Amino acid sequence: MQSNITCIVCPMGCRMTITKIDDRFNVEGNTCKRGVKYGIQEVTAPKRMLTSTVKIEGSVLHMLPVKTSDSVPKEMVFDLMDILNKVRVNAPIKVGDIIIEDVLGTGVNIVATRSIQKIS
Amino acid sequence: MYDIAIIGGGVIGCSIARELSKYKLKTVVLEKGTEVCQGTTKANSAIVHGGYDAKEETLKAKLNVKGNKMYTNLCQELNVEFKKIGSLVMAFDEENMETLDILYKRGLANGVEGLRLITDKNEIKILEPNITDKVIGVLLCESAGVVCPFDLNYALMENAITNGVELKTEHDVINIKKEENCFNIDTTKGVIKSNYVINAAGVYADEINKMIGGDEYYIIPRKGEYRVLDKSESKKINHVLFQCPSNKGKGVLITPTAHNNVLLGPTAVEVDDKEDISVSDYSLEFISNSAQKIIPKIDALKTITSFAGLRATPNTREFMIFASNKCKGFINVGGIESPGLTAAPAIAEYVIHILKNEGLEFIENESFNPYRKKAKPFRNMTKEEREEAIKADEKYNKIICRCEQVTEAEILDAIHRPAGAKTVDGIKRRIRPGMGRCQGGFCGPRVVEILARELNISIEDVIKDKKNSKMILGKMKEERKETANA
Repeated sequence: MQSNITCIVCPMGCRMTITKIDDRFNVEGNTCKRGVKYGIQEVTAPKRMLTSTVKIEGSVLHMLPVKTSDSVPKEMVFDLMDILNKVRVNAPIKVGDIIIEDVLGTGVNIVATRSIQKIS
Repeated sequence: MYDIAIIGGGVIGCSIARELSKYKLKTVVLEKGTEVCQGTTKANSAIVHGGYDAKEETLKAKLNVKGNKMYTNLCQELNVEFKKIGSLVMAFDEENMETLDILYKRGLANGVEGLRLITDKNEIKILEPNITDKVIGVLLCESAGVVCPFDLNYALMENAITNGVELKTEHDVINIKKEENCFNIDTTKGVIKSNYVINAAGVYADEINKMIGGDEYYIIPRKGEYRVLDKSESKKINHVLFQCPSNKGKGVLITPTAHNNVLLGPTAVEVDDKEDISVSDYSLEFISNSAQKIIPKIDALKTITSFAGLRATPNTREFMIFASNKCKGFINVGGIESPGLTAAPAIAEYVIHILKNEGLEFIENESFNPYRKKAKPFRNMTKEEREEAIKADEKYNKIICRCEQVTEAEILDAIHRPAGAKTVDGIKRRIRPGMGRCQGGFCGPRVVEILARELNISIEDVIKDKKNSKMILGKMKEERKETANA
């Protein structure tokens, strides 16, 4: 099996080719070792970071920006969005606050990416 | 029971309404849209033509020239921007020069004033410094100009209402039946009874005519697509610039607008769907290529938006303004394509003339007030005028549209006038928020909020222009009853 992909780890965007021989992978076209790790992951069990927003009450803004603390299996993204769409948090929030711990059993947390004050 | 029901609230219908308000008659305008000015009047070249294009002795020619002569006075009374900047038809070769000669002679025969054939290249360059060197002659018409067609439409309706005419919006005419001397006009919001009916329904005029058994003409919608350029391009052009006309029409032109934008266009494409006002990539490219041939320096990349309008072209290619002999009391005002906007005031008088011949009694309305008052736009005020305006009304101190410098006071005024704005585009066409460089990016949400507050409706019920054109579908992260594709 052979896959041509573009690495997304850094802005270089190396065009890589990943080939499977027996049960080992060969990565070509990368410029660094992070690319090798990404390439193999992408063709075996692709993962993604998710950045989105959740509804927040009691602050001047209505949406709180959040992200996953680590990447999650790509096929879980839509289910993850269904969960995020139902979340309601209350101000005040501090950047880094864990909004959901171990989401969908992935061991990954949903964390706030900004702080916001409570309004009276 | 009305004396007259006018079907269609475009510039033609509203011109007739205002003319009728000079008499003691019970008149109603039936408009199918959410506001007036939602059809062809909102999408055209906005040119007040000289009158040399339409063939001699035709109704088009007569009403064009007559209408042109009425414009200065009309726009003064109604406080509408009309700029008599003149027009040039350009010749690039000998064949074009022959065409110019024909147009010149035709213009003289039609009674057009201010016509001059110029072949002196120096004189042409003085008139229009950025014109292409390939021009060998021009036909100058000093009596031509540009107007704000939206403002004119709104002003006519407003003045008509002030003088007693009624406006019923969202009244789409479904059927018309005549019983003795009375028309029963079945609309989507109930039956309207009237002694006379005036059919000014634009691209749908043939369908309205059919309702009373008329078949004297049919409408072939002909789409015209345009590019609108940023105001920074307007200093490159002084007149309305035409190429030589062909049998397809007046061709792609370049013109300043009444508010200092520049229009490039239109195309001329026959369409089947009377609701098709899409703009194609092909047309956009065609337009910029054509424009470059006229003024090489024009920067088509300064396009801030594009739009299309449908000409209500009749198969007869003549204005279809006549009393129906299939149904007494039904007056057709159909097939009003170019020079319809120019002819509008004259068409209104002509319709009165037809109604008189049909036996309608005209008694003058002594309390007729021809004037529509409108405050000077904030953007045009001097520093002192602005300070005074703010002192009198603090809402002048809040700029809602940054690109065009429009204040909240002006938006409130636009909503609360007779025939006032009810939609986002209604605000846009009356006083310009959404017409600037950002195309509503900044002012859009603010205009929606103001409309919701002033019309006492929820934010989700604010519409862009047509009935189901909601601006906001719902709150984020909440269950939605409908999706964007509904």
